[in-house]
Order: sequence, then C-alpha cells, then structure tokens
Amino acid sequence: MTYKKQKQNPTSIKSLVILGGLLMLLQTGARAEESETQPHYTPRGADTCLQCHDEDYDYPVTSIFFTKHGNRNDPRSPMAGLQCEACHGPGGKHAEEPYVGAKRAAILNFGRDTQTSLDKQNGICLTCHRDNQRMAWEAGAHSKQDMLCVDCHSIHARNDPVLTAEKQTDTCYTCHQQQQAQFERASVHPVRYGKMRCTQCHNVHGTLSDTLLVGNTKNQTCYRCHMEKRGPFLWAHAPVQEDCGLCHEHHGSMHTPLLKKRSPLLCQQCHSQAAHPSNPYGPDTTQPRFLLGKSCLNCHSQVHGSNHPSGVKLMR
Amino acid sequence: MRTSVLICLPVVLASNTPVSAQPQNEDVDTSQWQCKWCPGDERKVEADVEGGLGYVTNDSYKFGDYTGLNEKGAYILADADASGRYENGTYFDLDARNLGLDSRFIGIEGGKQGRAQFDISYDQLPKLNSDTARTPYTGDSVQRLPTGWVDAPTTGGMTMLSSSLRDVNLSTERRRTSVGASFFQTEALSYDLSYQHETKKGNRSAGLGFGFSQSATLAIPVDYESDVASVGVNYNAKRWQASVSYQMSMFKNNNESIRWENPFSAPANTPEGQAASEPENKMQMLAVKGAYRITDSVLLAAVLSYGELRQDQQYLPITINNNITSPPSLPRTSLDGKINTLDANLNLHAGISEKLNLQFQYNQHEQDNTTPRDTYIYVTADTPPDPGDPYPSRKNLPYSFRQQELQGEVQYRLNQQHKLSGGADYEIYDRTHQEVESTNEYRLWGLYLAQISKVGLQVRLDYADRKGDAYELVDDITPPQNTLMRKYNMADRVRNKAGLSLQYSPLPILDLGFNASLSKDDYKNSSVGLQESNESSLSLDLRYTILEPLTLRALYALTNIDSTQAGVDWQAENDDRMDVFDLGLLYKLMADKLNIGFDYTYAKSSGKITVASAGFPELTTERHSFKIYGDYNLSKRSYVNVGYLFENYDEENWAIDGLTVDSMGSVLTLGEQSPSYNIGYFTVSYRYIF
Repeated sequence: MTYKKQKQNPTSIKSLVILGGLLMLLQTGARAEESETQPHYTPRGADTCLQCHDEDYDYPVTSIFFTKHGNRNDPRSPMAGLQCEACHGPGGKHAEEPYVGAKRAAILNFGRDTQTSLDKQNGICLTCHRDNQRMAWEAGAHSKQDMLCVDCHSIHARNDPVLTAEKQTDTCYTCHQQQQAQFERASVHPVRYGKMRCTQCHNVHGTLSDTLLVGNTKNQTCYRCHMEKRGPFLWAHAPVQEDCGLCHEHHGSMHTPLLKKRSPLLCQQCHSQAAHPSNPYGPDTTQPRFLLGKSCLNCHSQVHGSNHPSGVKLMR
Repeated sequence: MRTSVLICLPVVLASNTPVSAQPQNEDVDTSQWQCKWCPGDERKVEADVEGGLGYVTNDSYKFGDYTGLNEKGAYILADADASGRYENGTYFDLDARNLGLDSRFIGIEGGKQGRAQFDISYDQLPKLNSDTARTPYTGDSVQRLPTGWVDAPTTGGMTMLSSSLRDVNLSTERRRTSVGASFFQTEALSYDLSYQHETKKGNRSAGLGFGFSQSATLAIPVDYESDVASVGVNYNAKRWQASVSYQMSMFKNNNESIRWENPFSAPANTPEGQAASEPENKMQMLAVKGAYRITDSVLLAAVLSYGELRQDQQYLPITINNNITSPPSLPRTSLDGKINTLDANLNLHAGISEKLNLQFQYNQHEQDNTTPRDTYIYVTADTPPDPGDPYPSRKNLPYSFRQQELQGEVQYRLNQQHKLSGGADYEIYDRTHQEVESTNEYRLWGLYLAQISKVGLQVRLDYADRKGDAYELVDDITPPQNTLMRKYNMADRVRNKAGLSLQYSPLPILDLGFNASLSKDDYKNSSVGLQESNESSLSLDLRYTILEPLTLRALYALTNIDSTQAGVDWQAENDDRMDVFDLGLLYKLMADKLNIGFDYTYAKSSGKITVASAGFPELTTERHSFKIYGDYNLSKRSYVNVGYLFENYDEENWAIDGLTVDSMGSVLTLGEQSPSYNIGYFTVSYRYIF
C-alpha cells in the first residue's frame, strides 16, 4: 500500500536489542544471586507426605493423583520426579517431628497467606509451564498486577474450576466485576449461558497483543467466529475493517446487537453528507423511515461491506 | 521489521537445553520413593452423570436465546462428566452438557500423557432473535410475494398485505465440530494439529431498498460453512521457547445472493432486486512466536505473523432489472481481493534489581490491501436512472492500515506492600483512502498497587492525546461529507481515565470489594460528529460466610455512558445507565447432605436520547431472575436435584414497539416487537457418581 507519508518506526528494533544488552550489563551487577543452603528431601517422597496428608487431613491433597500432575507415567509430571517436593521443595525438615513446644518447620507453600514470594511461587509453575501459551507471562497484565497462578488455579482439585466451562467465569469475575455486569446486559455474547468462556477471546497467561487477546488484533479475534465479515469486499466499510470495537461493545450492551449506541446517531457520528444523513431525527420527525425499525439499516443493510457491483451505498 | 526479528533468532538458538520437567537435584536419593500410598491406580475411572426433566411454562424466544429453552413444555436434562486414568499413562476426560437441549456440547480428550493427546468436540449454539416477525414473502434466497399481490406507492395501498402475512421466526444455529491432536516427541518438542468445521444456518432480518425512498425488511436465509485447519510445532527449552504455526481458514456461503420482489409500485419499472450475500473468502496465516530468557531476569519475547486474506467470488450482475435494457458493463468479473496482514510484537522485560523492572514493547499491525482499483459504473438499488441521467460511477477504495506503537514501562516495588508502575506509549496510525492519512497519539499512565495487611488497593491514572494530519475529504466519495465532520476514530482527542480498586478481607470468611472508574474522551476540534464521550462505573461486591453452613455473595454494579454529538445545526445527547444486582445464598444442612441455594439477579438498563432538544421516551430493558435450588445426598454417590427458576423480562424500545408492518408508508417492516415474558422453569434430576 502507499501512504502519504512514509513514517519511520518510532524506534528501530535494533535499538531495542542494544538496549537489552545494556540492561543485561546493568542487572548483572545489581542483582546478586541468592545463595540458599538447600534443605534436605524426605526419605520416601510422597509416601512420607501422605502419612499425614491423607483424605482425612484438614487440607486433603490426594485428589491431585486424579489429575495430570499426579500421573507418574508422564515424565513431565511432578509425580514422575521429585513428587510432592517437585513443587513444594525439599520437605525433610517439615516431615520431622518438631521438638516439644516448637513449630513444625515450614514448607514451600502456595497462596496469599504464605511466606513464599510471588516470583518464587509463579516461577515454580513456569518451570514446566513456560510454553507457547505462557512464554510472555511477564508482559501480560496479570503478571504486572502481581497475580499468583494459584489465585485462579486449584492444582490439587480433580477438576480445576477455572478449566471448566461452567466455573471459569466465576474465577474471572472475582476481580472483573464490571465484566460480570456487562455480560448481564440485554445484548451479549453467550458467556452467562455457559456457552462461551473468557479464554475463547483472551489468553490470560499473557500475550503481546492488546487486552490479552488470542488474536493479533481485535478484529482477528472477532473473525475467529465471524469470518463472513472479514471480506475483502468490493465496497468495504472502513471502520469495520479497522476495528469492530468502533461500533460494538464486545462484552455486552443494552443496544442490540452489542452496539455502542442506536442508529441513526451511531452512524451520524461519521456520516454527514448533504440530505438525509445530516438531518436530525427527533421524536417528532416527519421522516420516520430514517429513525424507526432498523433506522439507517432499513436500506443500508450491508454495513459490514458489500461485494455487489452496485453496492456502493451498502444497499446491495 | 522482519529483518529485525530475524536478527534475534541466532541469539535465541544459542541455548537449546530442553526444559526440565521439574527442579532436578542429582543428589536426591529417590530409590525409596515408591509412592506405594499414592492413590489413583485402584480407581481408574470416575464419572458423574446427571439426568432428569425440565419444564418451561411459556414460549419465549428471548428466554430461549443461547439455551434452546424457547418453547413451553418438557425438556430432557442430561449432563455427564467422566475421566479415566490408567497405569500406562493413558487417560480420557469427557464433558457433556445440555445433551437434551439445542445448546448441547460434548467433548472428549484423551491420549497417553506425555506422548500424545487427542480431542474431539461437538458444540451447538442457538441464537434466537425474534418470534414476533411477520412477512408476506415466501422463499429463501429467492423471495416472492403472494400471487395477485397489489403493489402501491406506500404500504397503506397494499390491499393484500394483511391477509398474506405469515409468522416467521428469526434465528440461527451454529454447529461446530472440532478435532485436534498433539504429539510430544520429546519433553521439549511437540506438534499440534487441529481442524474445525462449523455451520451456521437459519435466517436474519435485512432491510433491502429500491431507489432512495422504498424498502422492505425481509427474513433472509443464513447458510454459512467454515473450515479452519492448523498445524504447529513447539519447542520449549529451559531458556527459550519457540513455536511456528500455520493456519488456513475458509468461509463458504451457500447463498450467493438474495433476490426479492418489490412490494411497492415505486420506483417505476423496478419489479425486482438482488443483493449480494457475504462472499466466500480464504485466509492463511503463518506465525512465529518465541521467547528467550537472556538472563534469569531479562526476557525477550516476540511474535511475528504474516497473513493473506483472499476473496475472488464471481460478481453478480450490476442489476437484474430487465427494464434496464443496456446496463453498464463491469470492469472485471470478480474482485481479486487480497489483503496481506503483518503483525509483529517485540517485548523486552528486564528485572534490573529486586525492586526495579523495565519493559519495552514495539507493536506493528498492518493490513496491506492490494485489491485492484477500478471504476465501477453502477445502478442504484436496481432502479433505472431518470431519463437522460448518466449512470453514477465510483472507484473502489481498498483501505489499508498500519499501526505502530512503542511502549515503555517502569515498575518499582517500594517494598513487599507497595508497588508503583508508570509508562509512556506512542502510536502512529496510518490509513489510506480516508480523511486523515496519519494520526499520532501519546499516552501516559501510572499505577499504584498496595497489599497492606488485609487491604488490596489499586489506583490507575491514564492520559492520552491524539492528533491527526490535516483532515481532508476523500475525493472519490460523492456526495462528500460535511467539511466540518471529524470521524471519531481519526479525530483529535484527549482521553483521561482514572480507576480505583479496593479489596478488603477483614475476616477469613468475609471479602469486600469496591471498584470505580471514570473515562472522559474530549474530541476538542470536532464541531460535527462525536464531541464528548464519558463512561463511569462502580461496583461493590461481597462474599461472606455468615455461619459455617450459610454463605452469601452479592454484587452491585452501575455503569453510566453518556455522549454528545453534533450535526451542523443540531446536537444530540445519549445517556445510558446500566444497573446489575446479583445475590446468592447457599445453605448447607444436615452435615452437607442437603444444600439449598437461592440466586437473584436484577439487570436493568435505561437509555435517554435527546435530539435537537427533543427527548425520546426512555429505552429500557429490565430482568428479574429468581432461582431456588436444592440437592439432597441420597447416599455417598447419589443425589437428587430440584430447581425452580422464575424470570421476568420487559423491554421498551420506541424504535419497534407498536410499529406494525405497514406503519411506515415507505418501509415494509417485519413488525418485530420487543420481547417481554414471565417464565417459570422447573427442573428435577438424579445424579450418580460412579
């Protein structure tokens, strides 16, 4: 394509690479490696842990054996290696009976009420799970907001609720109440009916796209289900091709179908040609065909674009 | 851009140690780690199966939207959830929901863990839009009026209209079948394959006109098919990860066009019209993603994808009006439309110290529309031009876009309780064939996070200023836009946003939350078009275990969206308000043998519109939803569930309420009315856990 002005990139990628090198030099001196004396592991691994942590314990943990994490036949799973201590760290001290009056030695634990740092907790999960879906975790909003993996995931549960269609939204709504309210509106995507999950549009583990979208752009995300609108059309409607969100509220709206506002006012935010597009249509209008029913779409129904040779006005 | 990303790849390839499954310690003696008390082997399969009956007390499309519970009567309830884990690592997970409804889903995943994974699913989604539409037309892609139809200049003169009206429900249904497989060659190397086929069938309403004054709204058929296939290869090493994937998707429309008879006697000599359906298209995309951990605290991540979207469906004729004896000819027989997309992101995240993190990101999104441009002489809405008038013509405008953005961010952790972040972004947005060739926007933001004892706090402020090049009319568009119009996606704009989030957990059994946000967009140089848009929202939520067996959750959320826009000599105001109140109570009795729950949701929206100082009646939607349910544990593995949902819905919409098919003389509508219902839904089911 041709542009009136060929702009330079805001900054070149090469500069970023050089900058990265400088940052590496900086941080080498600034961050001292932690040198911790490693506590020892239990003598019998999970069998040691299960002496106390059985199904009758206050914090039953055995359901993990019915999950992928508990499958000892998968060499990638924690239970195939250092078992419980693969995630919870060496538990030898913890397994020892404390002296009378002393507290049992702590073990590396997960959650908000533990002493284990956020980076360490998430780092343990990312040791195995830094894959093509989570390679940009640090760049995502959830990481920047200091979220823990276990804020959303129940690792020991047989069916982690956030991975199920019915329960996932409950987890997301814990923080995203406004989105919960948006999905209660009259015109919505079918999230509150359990027919769509947040993760169908968002990669919550971090992407480099806006708002953690699964597509590179908003439109590419929408086109995953609405391919008929991607064209290219002979007579394209420019805002459609640019950003679906210019006219639509993607989570929900009071204006069907998920529109930001009603026609004709929605259309009149951009269309001001002489004659009917530029006229005001109030409740006392003498030209109701421009206002009532489908309003502008009484005639211009091909608002997403037309491939008809005579579809210039999006009427064919 | 591509060259720059490639520069990084040799660096990425420098370290190729496969990812470790878990922290390894060569010194750990695991010879006695037999896991003999580990459960799992003795119970290979677990299943949770539920079956029963539901009864809906009234018909309503709105109630049945997305669920399939649209008709009065009984429904079969059937859900299942099963999983199996076997000694050799093979497994399966089955999830089946709503099997007795049109919103059914069934999915099975299985394989040998760590070696291969397969999945297959079927998903059905009904979208029910209206059950109050009426039309005199019959047919699908060719729609005819009844024999003996009396046309007239306005609907009032169509004497056969009332006797020929028939009910037509407006709905579509998606049916999606997906299959996928993943193969893990090593712990680090894996391959993905997937294929999805979807159909969407039904109908929708569309306004189709003749000339510039008459139109009819029809229920036109929807018959789409789409196929998506993808392959990918992933490599996950300890310090770097990479994936390459290729996706192809094809959209097919089984209706090439919609053809319909003109119910009006005007315009003269215009008996029939034809409109194009969405054309078939095909997209291919190749994507490369990668991340490299340069040091323990410096991470470089990049995404590069290149796509190609094509559309070359044979054109329909310029007109099907036989009264136009020598219609103009087409410059080509099909569009040969092609858009190349390039999306690139490069992110550098650096932990300078325990307290300081820096992040830089560059984004580029480009749609390069290489569709050929031609001059099309056209016939407006199948209507013959006035004698002596030439046919109008227009060159097509293949819009291209390029968005480039640079983001810089600093995160500074004051201590374990407090963290400050701030950033600056700069964006250049280039467009072709539009009023503004280039806009640029800079954004500044700051975020404060605090976790002090039982209080979590977030405060965020944003400021953005967008300016564009000279606003110039597009020569090819006739009639031209008003020279004062400033389209809001390209207009100069100042945006201010503020957000506050507070979470307070005074007791382990009590969580309180408060969120508030304000956003104000000022289109300061727009004398015609959108001038101002504001959004404010707040929400309060509560989760409280009142007594050990009684838990309560509650949410109230309010959103206000108001805007001001202007014409040349008029102004319009929109003021939308949306309220949601949600309450849930769960009471566990008899040592968890009996659970009783109550949910109530109230969702209301109201819209006030004023045009040139004249106010419209309020637009409203209001829904009360009460649900009471209980499950009784008959034995360790069996339950009886009963439930009753009562829902009341009402909508007031002046654009369609009271509007009959012939209310507007020049528009023959479908006469759809706003939905309104009172519906009860009883359920009783039996659940058994195997």
